[in-house]
Formats: sequence, C-alpha cells, structure tokens
Amino acid sequence: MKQQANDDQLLFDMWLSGDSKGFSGLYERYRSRVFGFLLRMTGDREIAEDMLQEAFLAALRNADHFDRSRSFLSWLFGIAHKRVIDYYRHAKVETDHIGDTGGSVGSRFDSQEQDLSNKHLRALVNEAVAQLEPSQREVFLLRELGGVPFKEIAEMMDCPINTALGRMRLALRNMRKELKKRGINGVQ
Amino acid sequence: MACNKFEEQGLLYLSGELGKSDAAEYESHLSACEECRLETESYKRESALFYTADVLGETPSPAADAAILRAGENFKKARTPVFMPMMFIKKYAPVPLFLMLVMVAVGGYVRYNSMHAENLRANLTGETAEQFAITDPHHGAADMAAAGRDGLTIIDSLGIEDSNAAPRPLGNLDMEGVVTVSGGE
Ligand SMILES: [Zn+2]
Repeated sequence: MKQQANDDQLLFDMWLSGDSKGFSGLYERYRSRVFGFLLRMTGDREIAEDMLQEAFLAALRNADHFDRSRSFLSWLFGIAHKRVIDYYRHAKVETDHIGDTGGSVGSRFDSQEQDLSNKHLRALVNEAVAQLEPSQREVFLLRELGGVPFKEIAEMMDCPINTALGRMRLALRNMRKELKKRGINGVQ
Repeated sequence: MACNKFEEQGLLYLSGELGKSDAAEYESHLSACEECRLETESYKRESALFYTADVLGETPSPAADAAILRAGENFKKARTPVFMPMMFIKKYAPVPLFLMLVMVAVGGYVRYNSMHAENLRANLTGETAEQFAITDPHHGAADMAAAGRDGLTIIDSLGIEDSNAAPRPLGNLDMEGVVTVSGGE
C-alpha cells in the first residue's frame, strides 16, 4: 500500500512536469476502479464513460490543488463522486430508478480477459451491489473501490461520520445476505 | 446484535483511521467480544475475496480510453507554455537565490579588501608603522610590510591603476549579481 502511494506520487510528479506518461500511468492504474464506481452509481455505461472523462480532466485541471498528504485515489474518487452528485441533481433521477438500472449492470460487462468462473463471481457480487440502497452503495463503493477513509466519505456525503459508518455496516450486512441468496458464503 | 463496537470502532480500525491507543483498545475488545471478532474476520475475508478491483471494477470501452488519453495529451500541450516555467522556477529557485547570496558576499568581501588595500597603500606611502598598528588592530606592526604587499596584490588583481577609481567596477559587479537574479524570476 505504501509502495503504491509512492508510485502514485512519482506518476503524479511526471504528470505535473508535463510528461503525459504520468497521466496515462495513473489513468491505467485507476480507470477500472473509478469506472466501476461510476457505472454502479449511474447504471449507464455511456453516461459513466462521459463522467469518467470529466473526472480525469477535472483532476488534470486541479492537479495543483492536490494535497499530497492524502491518497491520490481518494482524491480522484472525491472528484468522481462530485460528478455523481451533479448527475443525480441535474438528471433528477429517482433513487428507486437508480436502484433498478443498477441491477442490469452486472450482466452487461464484456471484458474478454476474465475467465468464466471469475465472470460468474463478478456477476453475482455486482447483482448484490445493485440491490443495495443507493446511499449504502455509495459508501460501500467509495470505501471498497476507492479506499476512501470514512472521515473523507462523511465530508463528501456531507453527513456525520457515524452516519457513514452506519451505512457501511448496513451495506456489509445486506451484501452478506444477498451473496448468501446467490450461494456465496464468505463466512463459511 | 448487542454490541455496537464493530460499527463504532471496528470499521475505523480496519480502514486504519484509529489512533494507536484506540486501535489497542479495539484489539483488546476483540479478544473479549465474540460478536465483534466474527464480524471483523468476516469483513476481512469478504473484502479480500469479493470486494476487490477485479470484481467490482469495470473496463471502459477502448473508444473511451482513447478519448480520455487523447484529452490528457492535448491538455498537456495546451498547458505546457505557462506551466513549465512555473515548475522550473519552483524547482530551481534555490539556485539563483544561492548565487545572489554568493554575489553579495563576494561583492562585500572585495569592497572590504579594496578599502583595506587603500588604507595599506596610504600607510605605505606616508604613514608610520605605529599608526598602521593602531588603525588595524588585527595586524601587528611587524606584519606591515607583508600585509602591504597583500593589499597591493588585491589592487593589481582588480586592475585598478588609481586607488580613487576603485568603487566603480565593484559597484557594477554588485549590480550585476542583483540584476541577473531578478531577471531569472
Ligand atoms: Zn463487540
């Protein structure tokens, strides 16, 4: 984890000094995490791809303001999260609707390098994620995909840290229940 | 169900957000509370098996990848003219600063020496060894001849024919140092 943070800083410095390999390096490292988050929050591949581009370009524009004491990925997720908030606000999407569209995401991925069993696991886990209530899904994905600390999640979601922790706890409980329904048991 | 410590502390413990003493407190709670121990172990296992980038991440289309990488490249080109000098200044600002200090120090040293040399020349031409010893307590009267030679050597090395002309080239040297640095910023 520490090594990864150092590598991030190195790529970030390259990026700042005008070397585009810094940007492409960080993009390749984190695109699937950020895109997974955006796709599961919007349920629409095309919209999520637009938001992915917006998020990385916003990161480019604001690179000077990145606080190096933070994790780069958390920062990036904070930017992506703002896109999700804007999307919810402007599209006036009903939260129930989001929940519904999220359900079809798992069956839509088409990555060829995944082997079948892994593909099956992905499908089941992502079906379970889609069943989460949006605010639980949000905290869960920010934490699990973005590695964002709860303190920062609470700031991003503009709620007390205890609320963020409560949502995560519910998300974990519901995930366990949904996975069990699909024959996956992590507890044994 | 009775214990709420996993939610209050356990999640923060697992995300590395607890301070040392709070983390130790939670660890000792784990050894006493079956419920929290189970919860913590389950989450660790689930997180490692299912909640990974491999499982939860998604791959954007190659077209989206290409568009974003191109945008990144174009952004760099658009920004480089303003951005690079700023980075350069940030990175190398200590160098001109250091040079400025050196210039000021050298200027001061040379100026001091030339004044000193003028005194020596005056001593050699008219004044007595006793007077010299009084005006410059660092040199004993016996050192007068040797010190006088040093003073003359400095004057010669500066190319000064007449001791009255000394301030001009020194002033320029000093100014050059300042001008070079402020031009670099
Ligand atoms: Zn407990």
